[in-house]
Amino acid sequence: MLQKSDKLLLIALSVGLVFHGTIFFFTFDETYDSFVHIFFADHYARSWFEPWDNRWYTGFNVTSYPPLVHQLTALLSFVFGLRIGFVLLAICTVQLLIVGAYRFSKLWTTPRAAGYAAIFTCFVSSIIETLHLFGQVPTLMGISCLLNALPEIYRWIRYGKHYRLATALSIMAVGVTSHHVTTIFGMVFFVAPVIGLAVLDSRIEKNKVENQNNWGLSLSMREVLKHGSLPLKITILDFLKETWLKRKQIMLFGLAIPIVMMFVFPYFYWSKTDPITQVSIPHGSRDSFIEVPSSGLMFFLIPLGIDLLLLPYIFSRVLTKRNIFIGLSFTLLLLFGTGGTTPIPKLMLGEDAFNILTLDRFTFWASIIAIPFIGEFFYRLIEGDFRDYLRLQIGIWPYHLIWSFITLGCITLVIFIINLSTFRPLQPSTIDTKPIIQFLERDQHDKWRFLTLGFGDQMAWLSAQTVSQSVDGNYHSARRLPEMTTRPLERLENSKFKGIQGLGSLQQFLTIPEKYYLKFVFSNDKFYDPILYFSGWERIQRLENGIMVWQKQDIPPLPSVLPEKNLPKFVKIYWGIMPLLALLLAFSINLLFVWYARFQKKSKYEDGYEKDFLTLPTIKTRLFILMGIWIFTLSTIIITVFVRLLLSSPNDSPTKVLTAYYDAVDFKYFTTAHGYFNPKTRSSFEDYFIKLSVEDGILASYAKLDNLYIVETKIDDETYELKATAEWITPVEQYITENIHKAVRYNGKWYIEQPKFDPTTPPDTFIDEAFLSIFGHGKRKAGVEPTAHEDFIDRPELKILSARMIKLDSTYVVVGELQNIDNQPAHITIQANLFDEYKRRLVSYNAKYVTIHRIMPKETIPFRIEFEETAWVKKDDLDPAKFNPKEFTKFDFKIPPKIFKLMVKAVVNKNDVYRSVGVQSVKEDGTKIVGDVLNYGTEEVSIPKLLIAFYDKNNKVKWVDTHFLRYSIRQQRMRGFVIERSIPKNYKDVYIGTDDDFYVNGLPNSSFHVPAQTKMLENHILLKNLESVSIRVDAFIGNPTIY
Amino acid sequence: MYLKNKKYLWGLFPIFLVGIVIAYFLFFQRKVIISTSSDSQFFFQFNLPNSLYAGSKLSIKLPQHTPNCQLLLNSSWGTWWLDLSKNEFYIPDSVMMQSGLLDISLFYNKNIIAETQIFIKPLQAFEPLETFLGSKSIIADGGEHWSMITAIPTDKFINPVYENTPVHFSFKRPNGNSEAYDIPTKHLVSFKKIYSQQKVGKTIISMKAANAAGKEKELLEIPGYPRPFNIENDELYPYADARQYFKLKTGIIKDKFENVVSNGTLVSINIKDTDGSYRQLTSYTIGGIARLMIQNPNIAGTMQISANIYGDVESNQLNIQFQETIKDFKISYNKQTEVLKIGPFIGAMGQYIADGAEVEVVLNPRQENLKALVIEGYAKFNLKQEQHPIGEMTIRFAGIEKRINIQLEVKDKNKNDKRP
Repeated sequence: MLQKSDKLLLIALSVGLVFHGTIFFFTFDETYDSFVHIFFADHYARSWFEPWDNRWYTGFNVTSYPPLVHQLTALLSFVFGLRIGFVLLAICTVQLLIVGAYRFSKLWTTPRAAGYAAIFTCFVSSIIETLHLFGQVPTLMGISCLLNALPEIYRWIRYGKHYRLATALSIMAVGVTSHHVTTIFGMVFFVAPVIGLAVLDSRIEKNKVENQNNWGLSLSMREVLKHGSLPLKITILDFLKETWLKRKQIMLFGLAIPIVMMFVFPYFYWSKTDPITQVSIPHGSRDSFIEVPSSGLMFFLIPLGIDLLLLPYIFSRVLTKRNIFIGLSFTLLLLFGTGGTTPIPKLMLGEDAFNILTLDRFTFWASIIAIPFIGEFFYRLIEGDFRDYLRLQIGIWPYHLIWSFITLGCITLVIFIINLSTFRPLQPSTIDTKPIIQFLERDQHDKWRFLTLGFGDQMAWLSAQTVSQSVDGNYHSARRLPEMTTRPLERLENSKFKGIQGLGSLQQFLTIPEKYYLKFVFSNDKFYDPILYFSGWERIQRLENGIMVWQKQDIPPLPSVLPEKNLPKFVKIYWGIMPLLALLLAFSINLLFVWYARFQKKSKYEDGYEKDFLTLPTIKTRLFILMGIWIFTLSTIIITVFVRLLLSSPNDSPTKVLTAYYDAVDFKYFTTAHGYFNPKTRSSFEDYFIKLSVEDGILASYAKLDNLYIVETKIDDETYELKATAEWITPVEQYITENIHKAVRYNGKWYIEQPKFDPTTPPDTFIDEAFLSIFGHGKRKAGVEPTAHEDFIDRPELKILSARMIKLDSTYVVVGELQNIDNQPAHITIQANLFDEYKRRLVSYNAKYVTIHRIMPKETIPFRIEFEETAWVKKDDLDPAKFNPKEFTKFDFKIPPKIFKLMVKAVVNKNDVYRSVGVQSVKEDGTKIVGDVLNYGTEEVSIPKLLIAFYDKNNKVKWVDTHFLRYSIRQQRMRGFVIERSIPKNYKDVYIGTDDDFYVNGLPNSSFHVPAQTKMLENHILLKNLESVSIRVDAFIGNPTIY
Repeated sequence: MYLKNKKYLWGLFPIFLVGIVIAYFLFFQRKVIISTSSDSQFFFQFNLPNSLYAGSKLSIKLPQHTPNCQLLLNSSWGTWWLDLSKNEFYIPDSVMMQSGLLDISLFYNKNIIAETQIFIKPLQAFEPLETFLGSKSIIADGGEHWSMITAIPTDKFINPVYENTPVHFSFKRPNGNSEAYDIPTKHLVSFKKIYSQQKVGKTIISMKAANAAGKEKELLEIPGYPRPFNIENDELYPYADARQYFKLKTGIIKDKFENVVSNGTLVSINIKDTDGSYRQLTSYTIGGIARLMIQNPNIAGTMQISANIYGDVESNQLNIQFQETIKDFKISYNKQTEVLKIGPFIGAMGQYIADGAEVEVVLNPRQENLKALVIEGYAKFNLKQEQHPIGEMTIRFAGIEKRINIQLEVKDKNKNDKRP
């Protein structure tokens, strides 16, 4: 026969099953971590006993994460598939959690209240956030095991039946294998208070029996009493004495803990043998929640949720004598959860631990501790003494109002959290991975590594479905490449949001992809297109799902044997067996044993636990007053903030309207932007929109607004002149635009004048142009055989015309010029190696975007190669104050280079050979060169890049620079440019290369013969200092018509 | 100094020790082996042909009741140990497929009983003939560049055929000529250098050795370095309106053997403009001709156009005269609206000049440049929006410069003009 309270548990379990079970199917693919866990599960499904996975970060060990949840998902996946398997497991975990919360609650409150707590567990906002927003099933599994183990620990300490030690440890072992961090911290924040409670309870019981008088510091136990209200006195000394009596239980338990921890021995083995010093990734939970309200919302307000409203009640219950230990633990957790808002957590945890831990888990644990007391509160409010008290004191309707207000708050919050990803998408919309998988499987494409851009956490799902390897990954603890471990960058994937450190990393990967065998990039974000194009990548295909595939030519395939950090065989087998063994053990000890015990003498397993029940404290009026004030204040603050946000209008002041306008333009809310224009003079929205739609360019299409500074100048009361300095992040460099806007007042509201568009009309309505279109068959015979000998095309021949090494302060640069002497357009890779005076190689690097990677027959192209070091290795480099994508980490030359060797190789190029763009009206104007870029062809140039080469008097390249134009150039139109004439001031020639230093396609440069240019080239513009300059345009066409 | 110290001689001690060990193995060990080697119990002589064709079957039969002995086979591909099965050694087919010398030794009780040697001969060349061509493309420069066709004829077991096996090469050159050669293999390979000729195109190559033919091979002959060329213009509207485009095209660019250069050859077009500024434009050839559109200049005068390809390849210089498009314009100033109206700008044929032409206004006292765009014949400046008294200003358009002096009224701030 079920007890009354157990019926509530049954209700809770069904609610949990229906509620979470239904919803998780729809939320899990929007969460942050689900796919990572699915990826791990896929790893186990593919190779259970091999912890090495090559697919991420050029290979990593899965022993870096406790495996139970992954292995169970893998097992389920054999029947249901990965996704459904994961969802089913999550649902089971929630069930376990509800049971755990119920059993945990019974330690602190009455069984009926614990039943309420179990129902409340289904709606705890932190649990909902962890599951439906973060997808952290292992964390939930860990905490539910811990919660289930706690009553067992209590019973072991208090009654000393060995059977309880076995159950406690077996459940904890399952917890360790699913999430060891929970167990480790749980020892401090959960287990220690429960042990304290057990000792205290034993003492209270004794007192009840003996009722002795004690001396010393009094710990009055009036608040919570067992069996009526006998006035008991327990001193600290009593407590210590009782602890001494329980030493056997405590010692045994304490000694067993390291053994339990050994269930994930390979994890510790891995972290000991493969230490990787990694730069920690900034986490919102470490922010100051006042300065960054969004972090505060995400990591403090939402997880606490209704707890925050009932905080006085929780404190009134936990800060009592019996609950003092859990009270301390709760207070501490709450304090740590505030992150960087106060300096206290940093001081208490220490600098290092503070920077490694994600502090939101403390908030999570605090909210778990609160569950019994919130459950109790609801019990008392709905059917207990609060109900009677309130009905008596303030009447029936106000009472109804109060409980409906609190319940409504709880429900609203739950709905809000579950739908948060719909209000504010956390992930890019779901990508159909099938075409990508098919692409990777086709024609040996998995012989190279790939990279995804703008996939969010769905890249893990992609990886889970293929054997292809990515240089990227979604699990930061396993980052291995120094390019990534040295940066606070989890994924290259989202480098856009990580400013220079992210884009710097990405630029390195894209500039020297040979190093990583990186050939394919799947781009779901147009933002990265310019950097891909200008570092020599080409578009090959747009897949059916809209993903653009970029490839880099001339990358060697992955070697058939890859480096691997092998673990001892014993460790591998241990890792594969132990987690499931732990689960099996826990299962048999807890369920089979109990079943078996039914036939045995019951007394062997019985203790006084079931008979021992708690009473609730009496009602105090001051608690109600305190709670009333607290709830009222909190609700007032929240409502005020909300209403202020709703009522404030950007038209209140000139600066506000301009800021709002820039924001609207940045997020491409053009209707809103148009609304900020002076209604008296603005054109119709259709007119504005159609003029806007033909504008393109790096600022319009590939930039993110970073900072905006506005300076107001008053003209008269009705007119202000506003100077807006905007900083934009683009993948190639940072732009600062300065614009003058005029703000006017109209009907008491401020508006800005609409910016003017270029009224130029091109002379021709129709233009045509002959276009070079090239097709290479590749393999002429389709099949799985490698490319036949006769299908190889000769590498186009190049000739290096000149190159020299330059010293700029402490860094070195190689500049030069080369020519395509072949008859096919070539895609070139230019690599320079620097050597010291003893011919030891110091560094090598490729030309990034200070060149044109696609070169036509007989064309000459200047280039500049800079030498970058893996950035942010040094600690003082960690936090660049300002974002600057153009910035790079100079290679630190310890020995000065003396000579260099230039290795150039080429393959036939088929795409991106638009050349109908040039410069005109070029003049020297003081220290500047001004002119216009004119597009006289048939494609719109989205981003024109100027390549400016300065030549010395002997016609050899002296310096090369680039300049990205901010706006696109449409057909038969032009845009002005202004560039500096001068070369860097600290310029110093180090070594002028000779033919012996140049290699083309692996052959000496001297083996290629072409007529030399003897006369001064006419396409060089002679400068006043008798040197000359040539300006070329590299045209990135964002939306080519031929693709 | 170092030599005086005799202690260094101790350094020779390890060498001495090593010497002893080597001597032991050389003399002493060897004797042990030799001492057991004269322990043969029966005699046997091989009765085999001197040579066999690859792929033949071979087995060696021993007399009845022979004790258990083993056969050692040694060829250039490796060594095999064979065990006796019913008085007979079956030599594996894989061994017999490989041409070359095969050493056969019979062992009994670690001693060689009998030895012989046979030669396995390769068969006739077998299809398909393995051929390689490289480079795949050469410049048609009359014999400077060459490519090579190589054939390695093999039999059906992929053994190289006999030395001096003739291989027949035949070529069909781009100019229609046919060539044929018989070249014997030497060191397994038969090869022929193909020297370039003067015409661009494909050379189709076929090979044959004995009855075995190979795949069709092709060699591409490509045009050489371009020679100086001509440029000419077309469809010119001879007014400096900074708007209309005219066409420029090169003559057919060819190499010294009159082959048209390949598509995509880049041509740089260099222009010295009528106002002394420069243009750097590019185009590439299609069918030997590069075409592009050039915008008319903004000031009357002579435009000098030339084109070049790097490597001293230059064109003629083209001089194009442009006449001025407008002769004069008016300026008016409305005190009420404080708008400066410049225009109408009337073109050479009495039309409005095109929208978007830039009018430059220099505020003389401050040397501040302002720009206004011509829209429907007029350029307008709203001087009210300039916060300062203006004074004398210079207006420039298409090489015409005008000066005007406007004194703005000092604004009465208290008047609170409501107009935006």
